[in-house]
Amino acid sequence: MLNPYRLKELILFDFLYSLSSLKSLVFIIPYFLFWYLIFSSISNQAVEWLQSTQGLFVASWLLDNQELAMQMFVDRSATLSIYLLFSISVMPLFVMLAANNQFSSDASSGAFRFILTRTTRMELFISRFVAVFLLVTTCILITTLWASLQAYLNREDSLQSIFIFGSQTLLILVFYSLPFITFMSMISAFAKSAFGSLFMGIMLYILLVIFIFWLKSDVNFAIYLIPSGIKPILYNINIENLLISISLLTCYALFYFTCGWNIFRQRDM
Amino acid sequence: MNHHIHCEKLVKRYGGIKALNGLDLTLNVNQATGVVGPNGAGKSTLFAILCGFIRPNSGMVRILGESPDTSKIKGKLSLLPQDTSMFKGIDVYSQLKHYARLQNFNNKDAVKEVDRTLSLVQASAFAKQYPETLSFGQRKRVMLAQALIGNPELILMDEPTSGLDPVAATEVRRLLQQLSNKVSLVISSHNLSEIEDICADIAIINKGKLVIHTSLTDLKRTSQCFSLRLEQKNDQHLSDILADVNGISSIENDNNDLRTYLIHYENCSAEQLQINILSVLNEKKIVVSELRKGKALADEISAILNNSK
Repeated sequence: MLNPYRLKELILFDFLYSLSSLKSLVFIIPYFLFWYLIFSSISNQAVEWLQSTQGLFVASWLLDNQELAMQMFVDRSATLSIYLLFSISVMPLFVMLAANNQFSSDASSGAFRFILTRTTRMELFISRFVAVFLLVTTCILITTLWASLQAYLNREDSLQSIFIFGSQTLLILVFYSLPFITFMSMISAFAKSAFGSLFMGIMLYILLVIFIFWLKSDVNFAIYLIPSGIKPILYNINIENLLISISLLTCYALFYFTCGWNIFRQRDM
Repeated sequence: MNHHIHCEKLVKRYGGIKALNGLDLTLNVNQATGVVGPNGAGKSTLFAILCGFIRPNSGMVRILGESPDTSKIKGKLSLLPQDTSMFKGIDVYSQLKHYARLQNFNNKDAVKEVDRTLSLVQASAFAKQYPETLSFGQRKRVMLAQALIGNPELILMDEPTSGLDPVAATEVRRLLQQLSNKVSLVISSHNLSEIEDICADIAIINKGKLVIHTSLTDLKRTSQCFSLRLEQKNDQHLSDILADVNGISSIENDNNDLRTYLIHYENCSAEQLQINILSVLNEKKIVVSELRKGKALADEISAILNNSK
């Protein structure tokens, strides 16, 4: 049974610890540096180019869907659309940086031994996951606000439309990060070190992607074995797609979470 | 009835090595209990299983009547590990406060509790430092402080004084003696004089199995002998000096040093024999530095371990 008081204390401590420790700096610094470089290069001219025939041709080719390209860069704020597009593409990498050390180094060093006489393994597992989720969500919230502000300053749309599209983008990105965090919970539950966990996470994900591409020609639904398979639904934002995306992403997250928990509960500390 | 510790047929393998090999152990720790055994006997593995850090391959374990990962027992049990790192990059005080809060202390009471335990182990001076900057002895004291937070019902201590300087070790031993009257202590140690000083019961483990669990008094009572240590080496062998004392069956000079002896006896009152031996030695003006019933604990344990092979 979970003790809410202990759970709250563990989450707060882990979240504050992660903010001040090296393990989150390897995520926070590259993440904000990346977005600084992206946002500083999205000028008014870049937005105008994307909305031009030439820009839309390139975007249609990239998205493999002309209608979607029109929707994203003409009908909606182009800056927020670029932000959504890039975020979804780089999310696996950044989340792996943020979530690679949920358990590995503390379990190997024995630091968990002081915690486990005071909390259950389930409380520890959940708290570490929630703490990373809070960290990632906080960073996504900041960059979404940043993108929305830039879209507003570029006068790409009305304040209300930017607010609505920004909120939808935030919701999608937060849910999109979930399966990757739980994927890393699973990896970190058996890895012996933070670096080992990061390496294994990246390698396993790349192998999965290669395997799925190899399988795709024979098995159509193989693409849906990883969360990246539902990218087209994520770009095409409407209420129906939003609900489908959230449900699917929650399913992916629950699957990895369950696998991770089963590994963690057996692990020697 | 709920025992403090109850294990049945506990097996833990590390690869091909059996650290615990069908261990059966029931402890009601009304008095401090020492767990002893040679290196690799399975003591630390047993503690790790009791705290839920590792899972046995088979067998049953109950601690305070519950399974080790049950929410109910969290905070009622604590451990002083042999050598474990705390979280790096967070000062000791914040970590101890976190542990106290996990044991249901509010912020204000957690601060008081941490101050209390730190002062008990004389670690207040370095509480604001990061664990990685502390010496081994300082880290040990901090770990001892965390084990005392919230007055747990049962404290497991793995080598509580190893790595401490003699003054600090004596202080810790004194603290453990005081604690043994208030909480249930289970101490694993290679320092047998420490076990003798603090514990009333002893469990001897060898090759992952319990060899014997008994009181220290009973352990010594089983062997009918006295350990004698003279203040100075005496040129005459003790068997010549005590030749006329009734009840003595044999006398061994332990190290051929004519100073430490093992006096075996049979069919007589141990108390009366003790008086007779001291009287004869006094008449001969031989100064005794120690005369105690039974062998030294190390010898007792060594004999038990040899018999168990």
